[in-house]
Amino acid sequence: MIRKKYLGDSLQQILAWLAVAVTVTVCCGIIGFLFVRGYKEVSLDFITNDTLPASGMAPGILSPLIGTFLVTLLGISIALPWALAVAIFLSEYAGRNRAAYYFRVAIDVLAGVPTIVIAIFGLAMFSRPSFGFMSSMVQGVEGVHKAFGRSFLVCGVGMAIMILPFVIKTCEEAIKAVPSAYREASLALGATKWHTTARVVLLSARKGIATSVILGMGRIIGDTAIVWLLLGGSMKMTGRQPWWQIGNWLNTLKNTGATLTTYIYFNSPAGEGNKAGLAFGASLVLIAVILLLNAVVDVISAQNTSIKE
Amino acid sequence: MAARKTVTALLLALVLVFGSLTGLQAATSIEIYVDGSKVVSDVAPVIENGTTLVPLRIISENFGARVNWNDATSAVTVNSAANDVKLVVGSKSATVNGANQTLSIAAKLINGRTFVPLRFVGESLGANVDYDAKTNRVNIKYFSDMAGTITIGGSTTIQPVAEAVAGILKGMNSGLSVTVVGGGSGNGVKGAASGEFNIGNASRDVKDSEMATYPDLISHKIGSDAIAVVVNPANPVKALTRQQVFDIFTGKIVNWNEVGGNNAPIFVQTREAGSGTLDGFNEKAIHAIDANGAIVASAIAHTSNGLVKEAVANGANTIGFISLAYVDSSVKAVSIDSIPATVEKAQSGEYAYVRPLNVLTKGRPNLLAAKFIDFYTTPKGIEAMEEEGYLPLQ
Amino acid sequence: MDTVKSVAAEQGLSRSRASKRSPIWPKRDIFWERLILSLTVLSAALIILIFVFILQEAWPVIRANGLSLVTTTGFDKQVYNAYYAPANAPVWNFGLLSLIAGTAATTCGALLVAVPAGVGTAIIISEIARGSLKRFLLSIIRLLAAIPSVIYGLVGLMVVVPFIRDNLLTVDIQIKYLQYFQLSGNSMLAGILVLSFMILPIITALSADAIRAVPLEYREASLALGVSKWRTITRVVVPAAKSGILAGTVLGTGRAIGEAIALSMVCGGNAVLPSLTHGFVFFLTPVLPLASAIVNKSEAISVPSIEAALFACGVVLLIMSSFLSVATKAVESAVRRRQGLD
Repeated sequence: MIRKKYLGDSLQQILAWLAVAVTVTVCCGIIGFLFVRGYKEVSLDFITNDTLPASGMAPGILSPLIGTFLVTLLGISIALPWALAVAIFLSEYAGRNRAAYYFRVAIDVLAGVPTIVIAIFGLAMFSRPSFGFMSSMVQGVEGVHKAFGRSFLVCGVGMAIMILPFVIKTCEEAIKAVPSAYREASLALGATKWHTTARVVLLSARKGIATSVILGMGRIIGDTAIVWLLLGGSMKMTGRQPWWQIGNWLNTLKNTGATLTTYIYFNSPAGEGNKAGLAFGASLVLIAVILLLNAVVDVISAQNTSIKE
Repeated sequence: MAARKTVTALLLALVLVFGSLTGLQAATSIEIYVDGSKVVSDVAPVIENGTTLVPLRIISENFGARVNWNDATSAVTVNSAANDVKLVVGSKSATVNGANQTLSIAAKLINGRTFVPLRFVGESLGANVDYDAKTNRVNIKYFSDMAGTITIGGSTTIQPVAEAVAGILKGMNSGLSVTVVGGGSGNGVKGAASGEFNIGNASRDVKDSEMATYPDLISHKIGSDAIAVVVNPANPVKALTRQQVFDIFTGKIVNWNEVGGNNAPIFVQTREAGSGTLDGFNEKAIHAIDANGAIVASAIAHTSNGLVKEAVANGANTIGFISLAYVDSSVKAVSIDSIPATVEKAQSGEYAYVRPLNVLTKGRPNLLAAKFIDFYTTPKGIEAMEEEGYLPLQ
Repeated sequence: MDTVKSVAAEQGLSRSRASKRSPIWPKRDIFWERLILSLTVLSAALIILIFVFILQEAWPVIRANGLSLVTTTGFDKQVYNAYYAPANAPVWNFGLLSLIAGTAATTCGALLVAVPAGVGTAIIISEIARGSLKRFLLSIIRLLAAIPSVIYGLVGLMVVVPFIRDNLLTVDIQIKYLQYFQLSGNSMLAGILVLSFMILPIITALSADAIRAVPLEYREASLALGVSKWRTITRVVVPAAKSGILAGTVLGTGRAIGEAIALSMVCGGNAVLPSLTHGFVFFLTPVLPLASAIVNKSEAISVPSIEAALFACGVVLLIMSSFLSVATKAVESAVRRRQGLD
C-alpha cells in the first residue's frame, strides 16, 4: 500500500521536532548559563562558610543549606502522616458515595491554590497570638503580646499545606496499585480490615510512597513564595547560637532563617543583595540537590516507566 | 621596753611606707576590662578614696552611649538607649533617669578632661561592674551580658548592618537570639509602634503623621546614608543642580538636551511605595524644593536598589536614585550643585541628599534591646556600618 | 478491575459496620479508622479555612469597592495614594482590572506557546522516539519540571530581558510610547517566554501519559485502514487522549496563574492595561500579574488598606484557581461519560 505523504503532515512533524529541539536547547542552555556564571563561586568553602556578614571570610551558603533542609524535613514530616491517612481513607474506606466525591473535590481545589495565596494565608493565621508557640513571642515591649508569625515551624506548616494534595494523590495511586489479591488473602486469613490496610497494603505500597515523599520534598525545595513571606527573609539563622546544640533546637525552629531559594532571590538584582555571582553559585548547588533527589527517585522506582511527576 | 617601742615604730613606719607606696601604685596600675577586652586610654584612670574615675571617652566608646559636656553648667550627660545619667562636676548629687542619687566621689576636671566615677555610671547604665582586688582589675560586662530574644525588622537598607551586629553579639552571648527581617521602612515604623518588633529599622525620619498616630515612638539615629542620583555611564551629563533634579523627577524637564545632554527623552526610575530610599529622596530632593511635588507618574517603580541600578546601567537615557553603597562602575553618579557623591562629602554635610538611618522603639526599650542599639555606636558597630558603605554618626 | 474493587470496598464497609457490633472488633482499629476519617475531613476543610481567612482580611476593600474592584484600573497610583494618605483619611479605592489583565495575558500567551509545543513534544516522546533518545528526552522534561521558579526568574532577568531590550526595542519605539509607559526589556513577552517553559513540562508529562494510555487497538485499526503513521497519531491517538491532555493543560494553567516570584522579576511591575491598539508593542507592555503584585507591593503592607487590597488579590486568585479545578472535574466526568468509561 502506498501511503501518501501530505505536506501538512510533514510540516507538523517538523514543528513537533522543532519543539523538542527548542525544549532541549533551553534546558541545556539554562544549566549551561548557570554553570558558566556560577562555577567560580562554588567550592568547599562556599558550602561550609556561613552567609555574610562574617568577618573577613568569603561568603558561603551554610545557613541557607541547613534552612532548606529544615524546611523540607518539617514540611514532609507534617504532610506525610496526614496524606497517608487521607489516602488510606479515600482508597480503602470511602467508596463512591457523595461524601467521598466532595472530599476529593475539596482536595483538588486545594491542589490548585497558588503558593503565594498559601503564604499570605499563613501570614494572616499565624500572626495571631494564639499561635505564638510556633514563632517567637515578642518580648520586652510593654503592653504587647504578639506572635512574630514567621519561623521555621510556620513555614513548615505552609509547605505541608502546599504539598498535601500532591502527596495524597500519589500515595493513593501507590495504594491502589497494590493487587487486590493481597488484601483478599489477608482478609481471608482473618485479619481485620485495618490490620490488612496498615500491615499489608501500606507495606506493599512502600516504594510508591517513598517516591511520592521524595517528589514532595523536591517541590518543597524549589518553592520561593512561601519561604520568602513565612521565613522572614533574614540571611542567617537567628535562633540561639550554636544552633546545632540540642538545647537550642526548639529555639532555632521557632526563629527565622534563610533557604537556598530566598538566598538566590536576595542576591539577584531583585533583592537587596549586590552580588549576582553568589546567586548563580547557589543556583548550581540547588540544581545539584534537585538532580540528586531525582536520581534517588529513579533508583527507588527502577521498574516504573511512567513519567508522571 | 625601749626595743619593743622601736620595733613597733619601725613596723608602723614600714606599713605606712608600703601602704602609701601601694596607694600610689593603685593610682596607675588598675586595669579595666570591658566585655573581656582591656580598655586602653591615653589618660590613665584615677583612684580617689577607693573609687575609680575614668575619662568620659571610655564611657562613650565602650558603652556606645552618647555623652555631652555643657561648659556653662559644668554638667555631664550620658545617654544610652535605655538610661540617662546626669552629673555635675564637683557636685555629689546626680540624676539617673530623673531620680536623684548621691555619689561618694564627685566628677572632676583633671587637666581639662572630665573624669566620672566608673562604677556609678556603669551600673546606672545597666552594666555589671565587678572589682577583683587580687588582680587589681575592674571587670565590666555590658555587651557580653545579654540573654533573651530580640526581634528587629524594617528597612532593607539597615538589615545587613543589623545582621552584622547581631552576629557579633550572638558570638559574645550564648543565650541570645536575634531575629532580623526586612519588609521596608514603612513596616519598620509600624512594627516598632505595634510592638511586633523590639526594634524597628527605618532609613528615613519618622513622618509627622506617623508621630501623631504613634505618640510613644522613640527614634534613635545610628548613622546616615547618602542617596546618589545615577545615570548611564555613556550619558555625557555629569552634573546637575538641585533644581534640575527636581524638575527631571517631577516631569518638568523631559529631554536630556535641556540639561546639557543628547537629544533624547529622559526615562525616570523610582522605587515602590514603602521604600525608605524613596522616602529619603522625596524628602531631600523633592519636598525640600516644593512640599507638594510628586515624582512623575510614568516613572517605573522598582522593588529594590539592585533593580534600579540594573535599569540605569542598561538604559542609555535612564536616570534613577540609589543608595551610595550600591554605586559601582556600571552606573555613574552625578554631582549635585557641583558636590560629588562621595563618602567624604556626605560625611561633611556638603552633599545634599543624605538621609538618616534610624532605629525605632515603642517607648524606652528594655535593657536587652537598648544594648543592641548602643552597640551601633561602639567602634565595632561603626566598623560594621562602614563595611556596608554607610556613614556612621560623627 | 474497578467493579471488583468497589465490591470489595463495599463489602469491607458493610462488614465492618456489621462486625463493629461484635465484641471481637478491636477498639484500636476503631480508633485508627476514626482518626483517618477526621484527618480527611480536616484536609477537606482546609480549603474552606483558607477561603474564610483570606476573605476576612480582604473584606474591607471588597466592601468599599464592590464590583468596581474588578473593573477599574490604576492600581499603581492607588497604592501610592493609599501609602501617603494621612492616617485619619485612609484611601480604600482600588481597582484590580489591570492586574487581572496582566495575569490573563501572560497565562494565555504561555498556553498558546506551551500547549502545541507540549503536545508535540509528548507525541515525539511517546510515539516516535526510541530507546536512549526517549530516555534522554524524559530526563530533560523531568529536569525542566524540577527547576525552581526563582531560577527561572533569575535566568529570565539576566538573559531574556536583555535579549528583548537589545533586539526588539529601539529608542524610537521607546520615545513613541513614553506617554503611556516606559518600555524596557521587562515586558509581557518576557513573562510569556519564561512562563511557557515553566508549564511546558507539566503539559508534556500528562499528555505523554495520556497518549501512551490510548489502547493499542485504536492505532492498529487506523494503520490497518491505510492511514499514515503521523495521521494516526494526530487524528486518532491524540483525540483519544483528550482528557489527559486537558488535565495537563489545566494543571499548567493553574501553575501559570499562581506564579509570583519568577514573573515579578521579569514582567515589569507596572500595572498597565495592555492595549491591542498598540500593535506589536502590545507584547512589549510592562504588566503586573495578580500574584506578582502581592510580592512587589509587600513593602507597603504596613498600611491596612493596602494590606487588605493585596488580600483581595489573593481572593481573586483563589476564585480563579478554584473555578478552574471545579470546572475541570465537571468537564472530565462529562468527557468520560461520553467516551463510555463511566
